[in-house]
Amino acid sequence: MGRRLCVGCAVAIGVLMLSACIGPWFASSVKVMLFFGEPIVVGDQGEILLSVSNMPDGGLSAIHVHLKGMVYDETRISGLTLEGLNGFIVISSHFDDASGEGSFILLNIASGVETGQIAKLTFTASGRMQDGDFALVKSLIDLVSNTLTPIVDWTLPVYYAR
Amino acid sequence: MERTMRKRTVRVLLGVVLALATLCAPGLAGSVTLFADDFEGHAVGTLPIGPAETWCMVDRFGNASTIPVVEDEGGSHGRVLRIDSPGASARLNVGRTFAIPARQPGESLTLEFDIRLNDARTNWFAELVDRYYTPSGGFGCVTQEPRAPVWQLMGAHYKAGTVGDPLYPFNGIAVSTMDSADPQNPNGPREHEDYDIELEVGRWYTVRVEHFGFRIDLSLDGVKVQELQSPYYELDSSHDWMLNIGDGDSHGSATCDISIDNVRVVRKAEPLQMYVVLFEPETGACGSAWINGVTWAGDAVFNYVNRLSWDWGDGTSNDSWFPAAHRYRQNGTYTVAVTAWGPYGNSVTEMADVTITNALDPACSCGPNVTVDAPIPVLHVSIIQEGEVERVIDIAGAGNLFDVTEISLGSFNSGVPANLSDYEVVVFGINDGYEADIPWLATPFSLPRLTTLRSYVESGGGVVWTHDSLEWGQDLGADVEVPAGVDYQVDADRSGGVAIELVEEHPIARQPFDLRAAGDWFVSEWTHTTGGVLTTALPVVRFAFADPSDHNFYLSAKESGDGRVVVSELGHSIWQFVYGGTTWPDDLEAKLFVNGLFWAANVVPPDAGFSYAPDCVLTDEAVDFTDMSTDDGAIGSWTWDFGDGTSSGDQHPSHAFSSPGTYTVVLAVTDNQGLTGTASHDVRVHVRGDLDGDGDLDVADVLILYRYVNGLHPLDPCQEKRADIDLDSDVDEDDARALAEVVFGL
Repeated sequence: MGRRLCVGCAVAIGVLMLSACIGPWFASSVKVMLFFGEPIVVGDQGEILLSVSNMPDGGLSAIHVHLKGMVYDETRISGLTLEGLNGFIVISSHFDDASGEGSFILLNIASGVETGQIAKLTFTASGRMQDGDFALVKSLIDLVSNTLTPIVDWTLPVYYAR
Repeated sequence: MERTMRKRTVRVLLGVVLALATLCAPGLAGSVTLFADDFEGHAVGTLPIGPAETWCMVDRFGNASTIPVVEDEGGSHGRVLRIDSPGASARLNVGRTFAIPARQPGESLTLEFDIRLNDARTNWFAELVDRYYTPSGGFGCVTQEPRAPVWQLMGAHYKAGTVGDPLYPFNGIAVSTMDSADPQNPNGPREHEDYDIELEVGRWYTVRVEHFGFRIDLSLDGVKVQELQSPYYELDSSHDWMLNIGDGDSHGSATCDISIDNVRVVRKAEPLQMYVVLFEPETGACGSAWINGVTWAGDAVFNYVNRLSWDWGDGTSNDSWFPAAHRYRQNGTYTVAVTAWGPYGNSVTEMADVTITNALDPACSCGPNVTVDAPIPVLHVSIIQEGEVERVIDIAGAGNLFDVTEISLGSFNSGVPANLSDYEVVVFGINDGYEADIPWLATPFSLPRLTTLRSYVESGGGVVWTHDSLEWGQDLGADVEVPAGVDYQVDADRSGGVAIELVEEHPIARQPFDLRAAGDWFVSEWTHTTGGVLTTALPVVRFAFADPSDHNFYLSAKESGDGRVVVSELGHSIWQFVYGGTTWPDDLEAKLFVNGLFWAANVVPPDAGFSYAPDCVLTDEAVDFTDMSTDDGAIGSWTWDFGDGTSSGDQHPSHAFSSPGTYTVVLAVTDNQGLTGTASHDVRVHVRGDLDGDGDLDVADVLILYRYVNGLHPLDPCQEKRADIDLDSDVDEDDARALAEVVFGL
């Protein structure tokens, strides 16, 4: 009887310790995010995708990256062009290879994208790409949902945030 | 058994009546109506009628009945019919109508009536006084047929019964007993009572006022058209009439019949025998005159005087018992005429002369009423005679209306009076005896309310009333009605002493008025009949009414002695009631009847309101504000607060807002009585391109506009106005691109 009691106690303590290590295992982790994908470079031509995840209110329908809202390493990246994906079109864009700063407006006139790619940047690369070559400044970016409401509660991955 | 017999009799009579009515229905024209309740008498008249046919007698309700006796006695102008109705069985009641068969126009018929009273009252008889008929006649057994011949029989020289004796029915309209206000004096003044009775055209009504005077006002559509003192009048049958039995203060008895019919009233009662004698007029200070008494004579019952009308010989008149007093504006000899009216419209007039010498006494004010309640026109004196003028040596005259403010040439030697009116200016120059021209250049003035002004000129010249560029050119002494709040001036040529008297203040701009008691007694209590006791022991109370109805006030006096009640408005005495100069008994209530002249005060502030355009307001866009305020008087000032720190005093201002937002625009208006009203609107100001209304231009607005031009998102009219970025009055992709460029910072 005493042995059984000791084994039971040990099992209970172990379960509690595992719980403390992994946190609440039932919690979901839905993050509203805007982020770049991994850059792909073939020769000196590279491309990088701009994506969103879990956008509310019918998804993202408009994004305005204000001046200096996007920065890149101008020493190794130049000749940027922007192309909308999944219904997004480029309304305005400007990339300054001298300063490594970019701005643009993308609209999805017909609908919204909750999770997926919204644009593709192509560029000319020199040297090896690395994290932080492309970054966004959250305070200079406006997001609008398909229901025309501003999306303000979203995050950038740290390695794309500036 | 007896009851059964009665029923049978009634049925038989009804059958006879119906049969007669049926028989008489076709081919009848005209009628003769006897109007008297009970009478005996003899009447003869002629009607246009031809050969005899069946007669019937129809009462006022169209019921036919038998005619007691009808005899054909012939006649030179047709046929003579005789109707003899002696005895109780032939009693003729009010409204019995004899329908006469149709005849050719122009034919005549003589009717003779010999009618006796069935239950004879003393000394009553009837007389046919006149007739009225239409030659073409009418058809049908209708007593109220338009312009049908109607004969009227009325009692003349009839005697009234005692008070309370039900001589006549009141036709079921209204019966009222007016009690004396003083229980100690049953024959004293009565309570005032009004009856507004809607009378039906074509009916006869009897109005009886017992032991009291009466006044009858006939009104059409609410407008008084005639005040009648006589029992018979000519009325228009094309309208409905209101019969109003007003108040009065005479004594005795009176009974009158009034016809509201397609009948032209025929003739009044015989003139009554009476005469009137005026006492010698007496004069007092400041042009005042009075006549202390009038005597008259006549039958105490029928020929008494129930009203005295005074014509003062200066264009004014009024009704008043003695002592009758009047104040003259100008010196001169006037013929005063008093007309004593009897109870049946009969009258007699007596005249007397009165000479006034002190109407222009400088010690007197401008009159017993009030003077112009406005800045008084100012006299400028200038000498226009050519040549050198040494001095003005004398100004003589009397009056106090105009102040001398300017002498353009010459100088006064001494003793220049402070006020100048009716003065002669004598100028001495190189050649003595220059005449001075005195142009009366009046400073424009305005009146606080719609007012009637009366001007007088002492001697020579004329008066011209000028209102802006409009010149009325009124004759001497003419009244001018001038609206309030407008500038006026009065011009008069030389030697004309101009006096201006406010004759009447129209109750357009209604003001509070005061009731003030004066005399040897004090006020213990003011009572308003509908408002209860207003205040006590105060000599002056101020009232302000919002409704235009009549108001009665009662003033209780606790002390004996003479007394007055004075009604004043804006400090001016406009009416006063004097209790006859006799001792006022203790605790006797004096009644002050305030009628529509004193309606109410202007206690209603302006109803402020405004609109603005356009409805959809953009920044830096002119917004037109339109004042829509109303007032029972006149609005004198406007104050606009646009809510952005700016304001305006224009009535209809225009304003542009420089920043987006919601602004509360407030309009405050003030009328000519100093009362203020306000109104406000929230005006939302947008930025062009701000389609989601968040006050900013951003990518959301670009998205909305692109969706709109692609048919994916609707816009309301105000959004469409804001979406026209390139101002080409159209919303298309150019606007979307332009907005995107703006948002993008290009």
